Amino acid sequence: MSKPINSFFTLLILIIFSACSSVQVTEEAVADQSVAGVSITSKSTATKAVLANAVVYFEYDQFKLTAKSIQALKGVSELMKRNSKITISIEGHADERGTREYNLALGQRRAESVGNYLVLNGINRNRLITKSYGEERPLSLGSNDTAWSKNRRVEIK
Amino acid sequence: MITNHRYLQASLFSFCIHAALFLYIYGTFDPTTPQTLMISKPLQIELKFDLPSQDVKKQAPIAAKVIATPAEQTPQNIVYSKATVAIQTQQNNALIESSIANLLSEESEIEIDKEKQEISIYAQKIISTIESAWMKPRNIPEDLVANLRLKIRSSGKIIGAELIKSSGNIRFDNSALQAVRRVETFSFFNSIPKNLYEREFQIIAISFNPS
Amino acid sequence: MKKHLALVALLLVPTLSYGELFLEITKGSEDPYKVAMILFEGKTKVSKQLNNIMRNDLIRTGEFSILDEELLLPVKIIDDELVFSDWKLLGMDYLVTGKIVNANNSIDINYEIYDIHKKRKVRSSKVFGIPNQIRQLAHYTSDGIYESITGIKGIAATKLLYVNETKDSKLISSYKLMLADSDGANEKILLSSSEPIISPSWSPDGKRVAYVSFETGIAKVFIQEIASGKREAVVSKDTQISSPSWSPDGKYLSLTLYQDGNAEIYILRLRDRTLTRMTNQFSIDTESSWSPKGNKILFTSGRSGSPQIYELDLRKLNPKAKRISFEGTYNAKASYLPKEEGIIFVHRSDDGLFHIALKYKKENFIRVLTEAKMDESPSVAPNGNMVIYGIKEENLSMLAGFSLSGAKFKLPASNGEVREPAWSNFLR
Repeated sequence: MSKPINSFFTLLILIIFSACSSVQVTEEAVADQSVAGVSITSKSTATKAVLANAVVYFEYDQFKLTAKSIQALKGVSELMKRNSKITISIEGHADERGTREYNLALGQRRAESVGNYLVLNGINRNRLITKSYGEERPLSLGSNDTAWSKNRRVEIK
Repeated sequence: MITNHRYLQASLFSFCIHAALFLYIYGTFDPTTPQTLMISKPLQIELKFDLPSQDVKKQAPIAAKVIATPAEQTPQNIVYSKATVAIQTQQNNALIESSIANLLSEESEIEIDKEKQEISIYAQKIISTIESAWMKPRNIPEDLVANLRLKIRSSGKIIGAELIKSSGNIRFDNSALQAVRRVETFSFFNSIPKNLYEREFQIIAISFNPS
Repeated sequence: MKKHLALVALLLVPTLSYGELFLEITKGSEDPYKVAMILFEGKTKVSKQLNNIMRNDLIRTGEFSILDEELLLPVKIIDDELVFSDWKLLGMDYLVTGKIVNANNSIDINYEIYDIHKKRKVRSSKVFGIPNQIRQLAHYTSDGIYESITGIKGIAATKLLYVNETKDSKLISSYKLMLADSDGANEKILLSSSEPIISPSWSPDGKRVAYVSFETGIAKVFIQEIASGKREAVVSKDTQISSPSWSPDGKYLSLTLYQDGNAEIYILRLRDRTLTRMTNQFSIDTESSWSPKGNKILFTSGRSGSPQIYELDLRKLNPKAKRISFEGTYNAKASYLPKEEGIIFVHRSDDGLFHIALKYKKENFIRVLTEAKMDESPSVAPNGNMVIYGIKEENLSMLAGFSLSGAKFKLPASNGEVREPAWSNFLR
């Protein structure tokens, strides 16, 4: 490329580009946002505690039944065999550590462990309902080992 | 020919586009050099101070690549390390080609050695100036590389900085551009001999490569 | 040599009433863009409010340092050209000037951005709205400034969802699903309930939310329209469902069902409510989230013996879950960064503490990004530069956030506890 041609083209381009502004120009309207609130009154009725003291505890991260738990559950299954009308709700819980959804699933596994044990012991499956509250309904409010161990539980009602 | 506004507009627009295209392609040539290296796509920039292997009398290549300086400890105990900045001049190939012709002459060899040393010294200065202005962003992936092309006046003032290879991470690219903006002027350019500046330091490419 | 920012912890004092999160910026970051903002002269309440909101929006990104108001110079204009040298001397990278035009029922913000190094104007913009949209006007302006300078889309105009729990004198809890601006201000209640609410999730268009509510006695997923409050359960069967996550095209919801007693991932097609099962094995599979292109799902699975992150490619005929977390014994609640270059998740380190971590796809190690003891529920901002999550401090749950560039901030609740944040998509 020889010099004169270079400078001619440069000049031409500069003229063109000076007309095209390089400032970014924008215009925006703020979007409208309406929000409606809803209030819920709970429709759930507390289940009567048929078996007042039937709580079974678990190790951290575990859903296996401990020997102690099995003892407690033996009593439950006997009670249920004696009275064939009883249906129970088995509610699983977890301590607050870890993620909420995983704890919800863990609570459910714990409830299932209890339910499975009872079924294996001859109780009809449609006499029990299993559910989980994960870490949402702690019994004990602290953030320490004692509180946590109390919260890793299944309640039978 | 019917005078038609739309027609004129269209042809002006078309001219603008062609002109822009031309300027883009034109901009990748350095008009003052005989070399034929055309940057048509992002460069894989590497160090090119090595002389061709036929020449056994040459000394070890003058390195213009800087090893990363050790990481600094900030009071908050967060460590970040400075970048490795590599530099390449556009004239490498031309220099090597022309220097092959002079290989047989001892005198020329010494001259070239001296010049290579000079280039290396200034390259080092450029690297350290930019390095001290560059703050690598945190929490970015390793192995990021961004390359910039700088146009520099003989006074050392950086008049153009262009991202020619994006790292793929906008914050990393931004940090490289920001470093160059902060530097603004290489104060030592005044001491670069004029023809050396014109051949080697008018347009340079810089690679930000911390790993 | 490295410059410490002269950033002081800024407390955004809201001028609004009940129920507003306070924003505390507790840490800045290195090498921010230095910006001088001369906005909205006049000391009216409105201009002060706008100024405050914008400064905080930009500082919170961790990428900006805003010049103190006392150091601002008058803008000098000679021959129609801004005099740049003064700002250069102050070390500024950019100057932003702006005006408010207050008409009958509208407010216009006109702002201009000058590049001090290049010595020219680079942007001239207008944002307009109505008087009760002051906060959004400020956020739109901050985003415009952020985008112009960094080239990255701003998140000041995005929204947050989170759950608030308060206890009365008898220690009985009540729960609210809240919606707020990205800085925690302008709180609105979406749902008020006496039973727990968890796992809020945004629809990609920002018009609906999905969440888990225990109002019927068990975990069930509801979808609610933000503007109207209309809500419905996603599946009419009386079965436990949780962990909703919207697909990027808004047509599907991935869910966790417990139908055979075990948590498994399903995908619900919203159009006809058909359910497709995605996992089928003995361990827990939950916490699904979608890739930005909608072709993959991340989820947490206990199948290896402890919770780990897995990935499912939905385009394959028989998708097989691929494990992608290998460090540590607990990795959960993962979500993709918006360009899919990595994932953010909860990681339990060897000392048993839970933190938020980042893993880039092409690296084989993780980066732990937070320091408290029980960090949880991370949610990534749509530009991939910030993360909000839940922390517990002195037995109180609150929200905290950080930018990848190193800035940190906290949003303590004004009332009770807050947790489970979810960051919306871009809304402008």
